[in-house]
Amino acid sequence: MSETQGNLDLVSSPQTRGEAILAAVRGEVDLHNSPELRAALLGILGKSLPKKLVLNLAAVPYMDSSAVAVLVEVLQRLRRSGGRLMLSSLQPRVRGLLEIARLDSIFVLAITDDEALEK
Amino acid sequence: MIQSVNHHGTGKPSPASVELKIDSDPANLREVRQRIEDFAQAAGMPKEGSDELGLVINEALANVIRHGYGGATDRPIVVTADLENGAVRITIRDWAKPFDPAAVPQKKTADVTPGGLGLLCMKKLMDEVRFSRLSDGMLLTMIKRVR
Repeated sequence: MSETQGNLDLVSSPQTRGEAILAAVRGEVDLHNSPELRAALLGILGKSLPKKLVLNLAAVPYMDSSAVAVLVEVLQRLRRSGGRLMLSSLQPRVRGLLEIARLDSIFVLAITDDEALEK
Repeated sequence: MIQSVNHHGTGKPSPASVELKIDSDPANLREVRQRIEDFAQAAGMPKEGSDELGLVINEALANVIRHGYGGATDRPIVVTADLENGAVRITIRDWAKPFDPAAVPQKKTADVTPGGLGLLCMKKLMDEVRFSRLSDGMLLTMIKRVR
């Protein structure tokens, strides 16, 4: 599988909603495919840094610390330009990892995409 | 590549122990954590606990691959799981350079790194964690009570 195809599998095509960009991540993310996640998300930011990036994680049943590190990197890039990263529709296992890492208060978490877009 | 051996106790349908011999390829992480989660659930561990176990094993293996083997994907790792006194005991054996967990700096949450977060998960989610330095590698032993 090419990297391009992998990126397309893991992260949906981003949609623009006003000043926000909305994208969805699909599937388990661990050390094997977190580089694909990083490439896909930095690719989105490379086109234009949005005021807000909303990542829907409803279809992510599992992620490990390498995926969390990618999210932290994206968060920091956005913050440097005054932007924000919002995570929506987290499954319990993913939310639990963020809580263990004490990152649940650093990311902005939302139940739905609409809530994330309104925050 | 994953080679597995299941040891069955007398008259028991679920394995009494599992041994997985894998290459240090991140592509193997998913199957290993699923096999260990299945073993723990068969032993009576609630799903929340087996999920935690799977996460910790993933993080421990990722640390071996990244830090021990420097990202090489063809080095050996042996993972075992067995039941002892109402607890699941996991061992992870590698033949990598020695790893000193105490040398990993405690990171601030905002600049968390995978290695540091992995150790944090081990400490928080397991009942016992023991690193043993061997002459030719490391042996990590982790214990989590079934209930």
